[in-house]
Parts: sequence; structure tokens; C-alpha cells
Amino acid sequence: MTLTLTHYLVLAALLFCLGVYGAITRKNAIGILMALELVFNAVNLTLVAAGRFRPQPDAVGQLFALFVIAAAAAESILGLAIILAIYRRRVVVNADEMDLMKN
Amino acid sequence: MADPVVLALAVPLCPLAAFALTWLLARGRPAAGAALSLPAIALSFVLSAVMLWGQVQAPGAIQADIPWMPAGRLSISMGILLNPLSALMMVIVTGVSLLVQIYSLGYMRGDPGFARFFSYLSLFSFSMLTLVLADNFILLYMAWELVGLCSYLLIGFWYEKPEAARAAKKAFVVTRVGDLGFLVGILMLSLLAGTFDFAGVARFIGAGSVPQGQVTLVVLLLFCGAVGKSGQFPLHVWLPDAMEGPTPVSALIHSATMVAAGVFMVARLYGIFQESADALRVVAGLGAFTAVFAAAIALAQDDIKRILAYSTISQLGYMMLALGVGGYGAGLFHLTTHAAFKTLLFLGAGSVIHAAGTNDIRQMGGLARRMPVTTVTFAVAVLAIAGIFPLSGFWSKDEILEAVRAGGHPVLYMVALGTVFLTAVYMSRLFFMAFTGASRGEGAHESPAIMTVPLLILAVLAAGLGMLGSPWVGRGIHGLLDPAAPRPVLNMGILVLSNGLAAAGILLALVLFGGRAGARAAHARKAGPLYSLLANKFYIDELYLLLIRALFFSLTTAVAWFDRHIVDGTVNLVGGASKMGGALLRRTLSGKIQGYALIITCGALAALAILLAAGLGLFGAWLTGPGILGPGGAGR
Amino acid sequence: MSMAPWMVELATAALLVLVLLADLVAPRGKRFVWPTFLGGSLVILGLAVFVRGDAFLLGGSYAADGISWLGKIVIVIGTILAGAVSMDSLPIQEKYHGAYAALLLAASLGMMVLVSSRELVTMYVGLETSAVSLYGLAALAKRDVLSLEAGIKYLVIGALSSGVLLYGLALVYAAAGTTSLDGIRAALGHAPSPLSAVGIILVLLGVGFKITMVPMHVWTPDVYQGAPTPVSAFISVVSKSVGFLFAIRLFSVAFADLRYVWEPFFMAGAVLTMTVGNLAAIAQPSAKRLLAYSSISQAGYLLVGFVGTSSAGTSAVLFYLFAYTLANVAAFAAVIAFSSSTGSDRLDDYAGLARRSPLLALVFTFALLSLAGIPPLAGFIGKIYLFSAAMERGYLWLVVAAALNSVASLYYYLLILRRMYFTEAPLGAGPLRVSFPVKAVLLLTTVGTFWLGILPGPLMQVVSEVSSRVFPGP
Repeated sequence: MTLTLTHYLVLAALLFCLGVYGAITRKNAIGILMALELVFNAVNLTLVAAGRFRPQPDAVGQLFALFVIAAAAAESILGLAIILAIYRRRVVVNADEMDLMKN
Repeated sequence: MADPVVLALAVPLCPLAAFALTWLLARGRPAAGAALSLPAIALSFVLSAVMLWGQVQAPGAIQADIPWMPAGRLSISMGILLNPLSALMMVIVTGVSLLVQIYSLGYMRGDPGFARFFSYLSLFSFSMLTLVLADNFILLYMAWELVGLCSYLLIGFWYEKPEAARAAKKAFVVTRVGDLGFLVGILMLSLLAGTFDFAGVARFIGAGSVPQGQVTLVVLLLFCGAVGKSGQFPLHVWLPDAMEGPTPVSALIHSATMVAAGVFMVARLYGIFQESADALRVVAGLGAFTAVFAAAIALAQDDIKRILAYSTISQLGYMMLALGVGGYGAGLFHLTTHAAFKTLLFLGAGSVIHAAGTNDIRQMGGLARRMPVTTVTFAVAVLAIAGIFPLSGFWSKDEILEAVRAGGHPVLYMVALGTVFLTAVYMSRLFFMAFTGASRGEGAHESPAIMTVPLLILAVLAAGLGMLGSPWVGRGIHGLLDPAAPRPVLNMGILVLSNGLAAAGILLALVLFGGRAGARAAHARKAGPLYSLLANKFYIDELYLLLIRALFFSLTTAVAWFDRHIVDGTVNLVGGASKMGGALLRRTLSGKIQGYALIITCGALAALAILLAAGLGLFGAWLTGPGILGPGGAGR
Repeated sequence: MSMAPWMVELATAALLVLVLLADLVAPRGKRFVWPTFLGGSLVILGLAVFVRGDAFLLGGSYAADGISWLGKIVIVIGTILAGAVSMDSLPIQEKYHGAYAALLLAASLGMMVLVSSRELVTMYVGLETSAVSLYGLAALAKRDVLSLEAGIKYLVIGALSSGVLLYGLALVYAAAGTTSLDGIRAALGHAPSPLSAVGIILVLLGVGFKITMVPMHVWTPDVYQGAPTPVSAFISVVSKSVGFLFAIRLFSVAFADLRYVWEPFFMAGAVLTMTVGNLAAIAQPSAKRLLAYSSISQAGYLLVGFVGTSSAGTSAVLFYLFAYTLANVAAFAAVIAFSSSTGSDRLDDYAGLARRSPLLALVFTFALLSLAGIPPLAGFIGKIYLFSAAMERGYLWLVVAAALNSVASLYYYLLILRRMYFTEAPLGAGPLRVSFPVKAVLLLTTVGTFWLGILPGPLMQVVSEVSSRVFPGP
């Protein structure tokens, strides 16, 4: 069967939801970061597919996706660095335990 | 003769300068504070009198403005509108301010905040004068707010007293509620009319292109501001508590000027109000109700200042009643006479409190012997407010009665007459219990001259001001304000009726409260439940508290449900007791990152759900018009 | 190609490099870093004010129009003020000051790109540059666990929101086939498809994160509380302003013809945001947290103006952003002054401040009153302007809700005032020492607040001219 844009979009949507679900439920902070990566990849998939299935395919979708990859990488690095710093200070890595500030 | 515009501008600017200078230079030095403030207000008074004289000779409106805020369609300019009404108000405000400041030299002597007091008085004068000179809604509103702020500062002047701080806050908040309606009304009106200045708006409304219902709505919203500031029911609750402030403050702000701002505003915008007969009916009805309601409560109060506070509320109701039935001149005339005798009453009360050491009239008595001047002037004021011929209150009150009767409002007429009776009773009661009978306190003595001289001046005014509205002085004050009004005539019927009722009231009070102490105490125990209803002000304050609590409680219960079942589902939270709204919302932010993420996700889901429902047509034609499954992108 | 339109961005990038160099050169970074930063920033401010164009560059994807001009001015002013109050009050080791200043500049550079973009990819790049810089800034006080926690919360929630936003943009791209704002407007037409509708809503939520709209506001209290206070000030003012400009570009250009789809959501957002912000502020014991909730509610008022007509709404929002910037920076600066001197963030400790440091209390008072919307301060004029814009579209109920909220907000502002003026200071508490830069910031912002409140004319004229150029017609 031929794969149309719809297939890709549905897959991306599923990945997006998985990622969000993971971000909400994973205990380990690093796990949360991984789930967020999944979200970004869902976005990338959507972008590339959308660009590919245009009447006149061009590279804009892929271009956008490249930038997203770069930005996501930067965020992850920073996230890991902060988690590491927290661990050094408090030896916690579960997101639940990072709740010193609350109402 | 100098340019009237410059002179008019000088009137509010003098006290402003006094305020600024006192604040900068003379904060801790009492003498300097007064030395700056008094000449400033005196100068303003002189200038105001000059302006008024100018208006008497050649009545007419003088307007001047400068552009201030070009906001496209709604450009705002700042300007003044000088006409008989504003000139009259200026004289009242500066005159009363001047007398109160002189009085305060004696009353506030020795108080550590002496200079601060005078600086606040100057600031207040500035705000009030700006209010009466404003020619557009924005300036009016700004001055209105500033007046409210000054009253907050002055009521809470002795801020170490928790009751005073609480009263100040209450005043501010309650009047803000009224100001809310006012602001919405202003915005609506100005956006409809395309301009903020009074003349332009009046012209627009007069052109008749706005549907009647909308006009009525807007006018009622504007009236909200007056209800708050002038203490009409149901926003009257702040006025009695505001008595926690120093007595000169009560005299200035809560009898003669600030509370009159609401009445002034209705008068200033009368052209607009007249476009809606329904709104005027509301104004009159509310005024009448407030008048009798407050008078009834005053009957059962024992704190001298509170009696006067309720009296003010009642008299303001009278003024609103007058304006509501078309008695423009009558209402403003009463405002003027009320300024004189109410200020006198408050200043006199101040002296009495000083002398007797208490506010409670049940603990006073026999002051007549020790404080002759105060007694006489107070008596004059009581007779004036009761409306006894030929004092000032008689003339203005009877005018109002005449306006109500001639306007064909039998019910309101009855209510107004009833209030005349009640007014006489409670004021005489006050007088007899405080000044006659056996003297219960010791050490009472007459106040120093600096306090009694203003009393005397006011007494003369309270007695004689009425002449300005009598048939024997040309066109009178009404002619000045409302050239189209007919010449005042002396209506014998009303004269007899009102004076009869007043005399009856005074006699009743004399019988019940004059003389022997024993009788007084005994009568207080009688009357039972009716008495306590009145004494507790119909429990309105308690009702408000209950309403607010109930409102918050239902809001927080709803939020708690959401909190428990949706947000905290996975975390097994013990839903405990909830307090006010703020405490509950705090719990939704538990500090846990994933709790936050969950909130975000739920919000997103909710939004998408709404979108879905809209697409399926559950929200009517919102998103189904051109077809959500229409062209434009790959459908899913 | 003329370099003139790029001057501001280039100068900022150059300053960024300079600051990093200065940091390398000097062993105790502070002495070189801050003068360089301030001097350079002032130059940039001058450039930002005077370099004004009216053109679209790079094939229509980068704008040098009125909005980018005003946006850059707000950004640079915010950066300078934040830098100024950071100089002496930063709870960060001196050797990291260079990194701090560099991050500030990187964030502002990213934001400049964001407000000037007219095309999705460029927007995203600017957005992420600034976002990551801000996450870093929030966490930079490594010794303080609260700062680290603020950083990770900001990052995780920010990344999640960014993902949502991005997904929305991707769907919009899928629906429209192009990433340029004008192209999107043309392609989406006047009717939403499932793809574009979902995309727009997700974008709305993602933008909501930056402007602290409910329910995307959840990060705000913790981040403002934990991050170094100058950083909180910066975020509260610049990030929010930029967020609104971002929203204006997206929604008033790209999604302009689909107003009826997204406007109700923003209106609901406005009401919820104001109310939640005000209610939650009431019982806060921490000054920084209270200011956080106060900022949240301010976003609500801005949203009220935002849903007004394109040109009136935009000019009202622009004006209020200036008024809000001045007032909020002043408030935060006062808090900085207080906590640098006493080490406390608890509102209870502000008791009697009026007697200890009367000028500080006075300035704080004016800032709070401006936020509350009391004349004759800038906040009052700004609010009237915002409300009028909403009224012009007939949203009476929204204005009523906003006015009610304004009154309610008085409660917690007055609570602070009462504590400062009407409560006794603790025994032995003396006047506070406030460093010169903080004093200067307090003075400038207060003067500005009064100026805008008393003479709003010039600024109003500027903003309405800008918005009517960008959005001709009602």
C-alpha cells in the first residue's frame, strides 16, 4: 500500500502522545528528558513528511527539522548538566524529590 | 480683571503646592506644616469667591483644555470647565476646608503627626478641587480616585489603632466597588460617543442615536460611582466606620465635600441623566430609601459621630431624591446648606468629645452649662437640619419636598416627610442627651477660641444661608445654577407640614430624652427587637460578610473538587479543609515537576476537546460554518 | 546589501564576544565584565532607538519594521536594567559573572531575532536561543539548590511547552505548505481544517508558556522564586514582552483570518490568568513568589487588550509593555535591594520598612500602585488603554472581569503597603544599604512610571503609529 501523508502524521501524533505521557510519568529526571526527545522527534517526523508530500517538494521541512534537532540537543545538554549539579548537591535524581519550592 | 482660567487653575494648585512643600520640607515640624497649608487654602478660598462672584454677574461656561493623550479616535485632553456649578462647589470646598483647618490648629495640637495631617488635608483639597473643575471623564475619574486615596490616608491617620486601619481599608474597598461600575460606565459611554469630554458626550447622547436601554444602563453604571462615594444603600457601610478618623476629617470629608462628590457628579452630568427617565427614577427611589433607612438607624445609635454619620447618609439620600425628581437646584441648594450645618455639627461634636472624653452620648450630659458657645452653635445646627423656619435647612428641605410633591410622587413624598420627622427626633435626642440634664462627666470645659470661632462662623452660615434661596433675594441660588428654573415661592402648606413634623419630633425627643437620666436609661431598654434591629444597623455588615464568605466558599469547593479528582488523581492527596480561594489554588502547584506537566497536558487536552466539540457542532456555528473538513491541507 | 538594518543584532553579537573575551582576560572577571557590558549595552540602546527601518529583508522573512524596532528597545532596556541590578547583587561567584553577562546577551540576541522574524524557522531559532540561555541563567547560582531546581523546572516545562508549540507549528506547516507568515495567512484561508485548527491551538498553548497564560503559567512561581532575583526580573519583563510580540506577529499576521478560532481561547485565557494570578498572590509569604503571581495576572490584563482590534489592541499592548516593564523592574529592584541587605525574601520581614528606609519603601509603593493601576501612574493609563481596545470590539464582560480583578489585586498590594507603613519594624532594625546601581535603576524606573502616567502622549503616538503601519485598518 502507498504511504500517504496521513500515515506519517498519525505515527507522529502517536509518538508525540507517548513522549508527553513519558514526560509526565517517568520518575527519573533523565528519563523525562528522554521522553521529551521523543516529542521532538515526533515533531521532526511531521515536518519532514509535510515537506515531502507537498505538490512541489522542497527542503523547508527538512531544514526546519535540522534546526529542531540542534536546539533539542542543546536543551538536553543543559538539562543533563543541571541534573548532574542537583545530584551533586542533593543526591536525588527522581523528579518527585525536586520539590523544595512549592505553595 | 485677570484671566478667569488662570485664576481657576490657581485654586487647586495652591493646596497642591502646599502639600508638596510640606511633604518635602516640613515633615516633622508642626508649625511649618500649618503655616504652608493655611495660607494656601485661604488663597484658594478667596479666588473661588471671586470666581463665584464672576459667575453671579455673568453666568456662563468657560472651558479651556490642552491635548494630553492622542489615542486615535479617543484623544484625551486635560481641561477645566468653569460654570456656576463648579464655582459654587469650589467655594464650598475651599470654605469648609479653611474652617476645618483653622479648627484643627486647636484640635490636633500636640499630635505627633500634625504636619502630616495638614499635608494630607491639602492633598485632599487639591483632589477635590480638581474633581469639580474637570471637564472630561478621565480627569474626573483620576481626581475621584485620588480623593478616595486621600480619604484612606485620612481615615487611617491614627494607624496604630487597628480599628482605624480597618476602617480605612473598608472605605477604600467599598468605594472601589462603586468605582468599578463608574469606570465601566465611563468607558462604555466614551466609546459610544467617541470622546471623553462632558460637552461632547452630552451632545452625542442628546442626538438620540443610542437605544434607550443602553442609555439607561450607562447612566446606572455611572450612578454606581455616586452610590459608593455618597454612601447610598447598599454601599453605605463604610461611612459610619470611617468615623475612626480624627473629627476634623469627618467634618471635611464625610459631611461636606467628598461624600458630596457623588451628588456633584450627578449634577455635573445631569444632561446625560435626564436622557433616561428610568435611571432618574432609580436615583430618586434609592435616595428616598437611603434617607429613611439611615435616619431609622441613627435613632438607635449611641456614638455621637455615628449618629452624625448616619445623618449624613440620610441627607445625601435627600439630595439624590431631589436630583432624581428633577429638582436640580433644590438638590444642590441642600448640598450647600448641609455643608454648613453638618460641618458645624461635626466640629461641635469634636469639641464635645474632647471635653467629655467619650463618644458615647449616654455618658454625656449637662454640657450646656460648661460649654455655652458650643451648645448654642450646636443647637442652631440641630434646628437647621430639622428644617425649622427660617434657618437654612428649612429652605433647602422644603424645596426638595416641593419638588417631590410637584413631580407627582406620592410615595416618595410620604417617605420624605417621614424622614423629616425622624431627623428631628434623632438629632434632638442627640442634643438633649449630650447637653441637657445632669452632668455625668467631669472636667468638661469650653474649647479654645481657635475652635469656637469656626463654630460661630458656621452657625451664622447655617442660620442665614437659607436666605439665598428665599423669595426675597432675587433669583436666588437656583437662578444661578439653573436659569430656566422658576422663581422660588414660599409654599405655606409645606412649611406648616414640615415644621409641624419637625416640632413634633423635637418635642418627642424632649419628652423621651430631655432632663432626667433615669428616664433615658429606662427608655433604652424598651422597644426590644425593633431597637436592636436599628442599633445593629439592620445587620447589613454581617450580611455582607456572610455573602462574601459564602461566595468564596463555593468557589473554593469547586476548585477543590477539580484539584482532588483530576490533578491529584495519582498522588493520593488527603483533601482537607479549604480556606479562602488563594489557599486552594496554592495546592494545585505542588512543587513537583510532573504535577506541573500534568496541568499543562490537561489544559491542552481541554482546549483540544473544546475544538473537537466545536467541530462537531456542539458550539453552534462557531467552527462549522465554512466546514471544518473543508479544503486546505490534508484532512485527517 | 546595506548593513544598517542589522546594526543592533550585530552590535549585540559583538558585545557578546567582547564580554567573553573580557572574561577570559581578567582572572577576577567582574572588574572588566560589567563595565564592558554596560557600556556596550548603552551603545546598543542608542543604535536600537535610532536605527529604524521599514522594510522586509531576506525575502520577507526578517522584518525591520515598527514592531521589531519597539521590541528591540524593550529588550535592550530590560537587559540594561537587569544587568545593572546584577552587578552588585548577584548570588553567584565572581568567576561566573562573565558567563552570566554573556548569557544575558545571548538571550537578548535570540529575542531580537524572535521579534523580527516573519517566518517560522527563524522564529524558532530565536526562540530557542533565548530559551536555553534563560534556562541556564536561572540555574546559574549553582551553590543554591533552589536555583538549580528552578533551572530544571524551567527547562523541563519549557521544553515540553516548546515541544507543544513546535508540534503546532509543524501542523500549521503541513496545512499551509509554507513557513512564511504571509504565505501561511494566504494558504490557510478563512476556514480552518482539522490540521490547521489543532495546529493553531497548540501554537496558542506554546505561546502561552512565554506569556504565562493559564494553564501554561505553572513554572512561573518556582522559577521566579528560585532563580537569582535579577534573572527573575529579566524573565518577568523581557521574556513576557517578547512573548507578546511573538504572539502579535503570529496571530495578527499568520492567523489573522482565523480570528474566530483562536480569539475565544485567548479570552478564556485572559480571564483565567488574571483570576488565578490574583487569587494565588493573596496568601504568599515570599516576596518573589508574590511578584511572580502578580506578573501572571498582569499577563491577563495584557491579553484583554490583545483580543482588541488589531491596531488598537496592538498599540495598547505595546504601551502597557513599557509601563509594565518599568513598574515590574522597579518592584524587583526593590526586592533585590531588600534581600541583598537583609538576606530575606519573606514579606513579614518588610515590616516597618517605611521607617527604616523611607525612600526605598516609597519607590516600592509607586511600583506596586502602578501595577495596581492607580492614577497618576503609568499602569493606570495603560490599563485604560487596554480596556478601551477590548471595548472597541464590544467585549464588555471581559472588561468588567478585568476591572474586578484590578480591584481585587489591590488587596495584596495594599497588604504590602500596610506592612511597610503601618507595622512596627523589628527592634534594632536599621536603614538598609542599597548599592548605587540598584538605586539608579529604582530612580530611573520610578521617574519613567510617573512620566508615562502624566504625559503618555508621546509614547502613545509612537505606538499607535507603529501599529497602524503594521496593521492598517481597524
